[in-house]
This record gives sequence, C-alpha cells and structure tokens, in this order.
Amino acid sequence: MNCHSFESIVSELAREQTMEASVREDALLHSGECETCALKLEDERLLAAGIRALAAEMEFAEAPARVGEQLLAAFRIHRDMAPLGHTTYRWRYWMGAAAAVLLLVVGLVAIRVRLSSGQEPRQRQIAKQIEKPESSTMATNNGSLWVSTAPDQPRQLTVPGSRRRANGYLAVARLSKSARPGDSSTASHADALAGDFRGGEIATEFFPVGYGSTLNLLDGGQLVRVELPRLALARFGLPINVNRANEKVKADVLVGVDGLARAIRFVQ
Amino acid sequence: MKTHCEPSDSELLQSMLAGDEKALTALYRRRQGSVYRFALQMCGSQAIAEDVTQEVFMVLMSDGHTFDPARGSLNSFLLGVARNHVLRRLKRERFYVSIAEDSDNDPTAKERYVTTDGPLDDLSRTETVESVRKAVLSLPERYREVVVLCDLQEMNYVEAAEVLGCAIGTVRSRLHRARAMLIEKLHPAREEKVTSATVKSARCLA
Repeated sequence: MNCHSFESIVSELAREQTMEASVREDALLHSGECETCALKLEDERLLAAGIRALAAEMEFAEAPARVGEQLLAAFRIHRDMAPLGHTTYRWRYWMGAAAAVLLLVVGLVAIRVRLSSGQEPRQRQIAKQIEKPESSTMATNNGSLWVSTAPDQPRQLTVPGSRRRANGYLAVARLSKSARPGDSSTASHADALAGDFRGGEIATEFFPVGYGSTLNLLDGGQLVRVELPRLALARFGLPINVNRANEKVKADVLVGVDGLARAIRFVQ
Repeated sequence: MKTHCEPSDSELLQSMLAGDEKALTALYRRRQGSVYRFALQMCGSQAIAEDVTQEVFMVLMSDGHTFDPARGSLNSFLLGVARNHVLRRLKRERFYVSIAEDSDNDPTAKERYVTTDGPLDDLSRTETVESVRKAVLSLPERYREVVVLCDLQEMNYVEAAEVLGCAIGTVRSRLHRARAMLIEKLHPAREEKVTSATVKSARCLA
C-alpha cells in the first residue's frame, strides 16, 4: 500500500468502519512504516474521538418542554381556524393571484383603448371639418366661432370658456389642443352653431389648400376671416356669377400652427 | 413487536393533518430531538435551536401534505426544513457566522482550539468537547452541515444527501474536506510537521 491508497481509507480506518481485513492489515502496516501516514491516522483518530465525545454529550439534548407546549397551543388554534390540509388557503391564494393578474390585464387594456380612442376621433373630427360637405362649422371647448349675421357685423357665438370678442370683420377662432371631439358639450355647441349658421351665413365645405396634412391641426390652429376676389371661387371649382365678378367674397382660412393655410371655405 | 405497535411517521403525520393532537405529540416526541440537536450543532445557540424546532413543526402542521415518502424519510424532510431555517437565521444574525470568519483570519483564534500534544491526552474531556464544538462551529456552513449530519447525527451519505438536496459524491467530498479542516483547526502545529514530512515522503516516493 502506498500513501495515496492509505489516505483514501484513513477515515474509515480511524473510525473503525467495516473494511476488508487484508486492506486493514496493509494500511496498519503502512502506517507503521510511513511517519506521515502514521500522523495522519493519529489525527483522524483524535478527531473521531473528539467528535464521538461531542456527539455523546449532545445525544440526549432535547428542546425544552415549553417548545412542545407552545407548539401544541398553536396546533389547537390552527385546527380550530382552518383544516390542516391547507387546501383552502392554497385555493384562496391562487384565486387572489389570478384576480390580481386579471385586474392588471383589464387595466392595461382599458388604458390602451382609451389612449387609442382619444386620438382617432380627434383626427376624424378635424378631417371631417375639412372633408365632409355637411360639416361646415368648427366648434371647440374653449374656442369661439365667428358667424356674420350682417355683412359688416359678424356675430360671435361663444363656447363656454372662451372670452368674448367683437372686433369687427376679421375674427379668429382658436382651435384648442384640449378639444375633445367626443365631448357632449362640444357636440351640442356644434349643433347650436349649425342652427345659427343656417339663419346667418351660408358656407361651403372646407377645401384643402396645398399638400399639408390635416393631422397637423391636432396641435391647434386659427380660423381667419378674409376677403378674396370672387374669381378665387373658380380655383376650387365653384360657379361664378360673371355679373358680380368684380366683387369680393368672404372666406374662412384655416391656418395651422406653422402659419400655413390648410383649408378654406367660402361664406355668403 | 414494538414496531408493530407504533405507527410510522407517515401515519402519524396523516393523523396529525387530520387534526389528531395525540399524533402531533407522538411525532414531536419522536423527532424533535434530532431537529433540535441539528439546529444546536449548526448554530451553537440554544435560543435559535428552540426557535428552529418550533418553526419546523409549525411548517409540518401547515405544509405537511407536501411531504412525499417516496423522496425520503420524514426525518430527512424535517432536517431539510430545519436546515433552511438555520441557514436563514445564520444569514440574518451575522454574529454566529462571524465565528468562522474570525477564526480563519485571527491567528489567536486557532490557538484557542490548539492542543499541541493531543486534546484527549492533556485536556479534560469537557475541554476537548468544547474545542471540537468550537472547531465545528467555525467551519463554513456547507462543511459544517455535513459534519453535523454524518459525524454527529451519524447519518449515512444517502440520508445526508436527501437532507442537503445534493449528490452523494458531494456529501462525501465535503465531508473529507471538512474533516481535513477540523484537523487543521485542532492540530495546526502537527499540520506543519505533516507538511514537512509530506515533502520528505514525496522525495522518498519519487
């Protein structure tokens, strides 16, 4: 036997564990010849003896009686409160977790739907104002629309929140950023304006001017009342009374925040 | 005869989960000793050992249905739970961990465990036990637990592997390393002799 083989069995040898008799004899013989292995065997024996002594000393160590009593009390409470199988608690736990996840998903979906629906109608409203013939007014929550009841005296229809101005021929209505197309107040004001409109001026639909996107109007814009030569009607495909060709015609120009004209409608 | 009369751990556990108080008492009496000793030998504090014992049986009351006899004995299950609690407590209370850290860095700490001519020859039995206890407590946790399970609780490698949730070979190698560390802590002077002698024998073998 060499030192390497001895080292692999020295623990068993020191603890007098079961091994082949021949191996044991060889190992003892080797330890008698090799000083290093003899010291190793001695160390292992001393350690084994020390550990045995420690184990023997703690062999009968037990938890104090009060631990058992407390445990018993806890057991009685636990038994009275719920079945010990714990399936109820587990079921409740999973149900609670599932409900929390469901709420989270519903909340996220609601936020997403609200965000998307908040933008699309807004775009549609502006586009409708420009493209649809029957829609000929622009209403906002806090802006105002100017309608002329007499050739030289436009009447201001005030939408709540706007300040009243009556400065004559050229009037400006502000398209607010906060305008909400789905807002019921906006819709009702639009209807009211349409009624006044019928009783006052007649306006064409908005005609797009240039190639700018109407989506830019989402950021706001201004409605500017101007006077143009009557020949300008022809450029938008509208009929012209040649007898009145020298006269001027009133028009509302929709100007974006970038200062460019986006659309125009003619008012009579 | 006795084994026929006494119900098994699994039977007691089932009765206990059904609300049988006597089953809990019997199970507690049968298994609390090993749980308490394991915790005490792992952390060296009676207070923590008591807490851990109580917590282990509380876990058994609430989650006893998770015990699977096919995966090991109830004793291994309880010791596994106790191990988790002990490690958590040791992590929380660094005071007990610092023994190992200090003893590795502080040269005087080694001298406290040292007995130059062998602890069983020169020191009284109590002192020997105390020095071994301190040496065991100064081991890193992964080595301490295999010494406690295999040497102090006299478990075989298979049972120890069940408790620790690792391979048998891992238990074997950790135990070998742990014993070498214990010898080093208990007999550092002799270790030096061994080192020099190893050089000699190495030359001889070469």
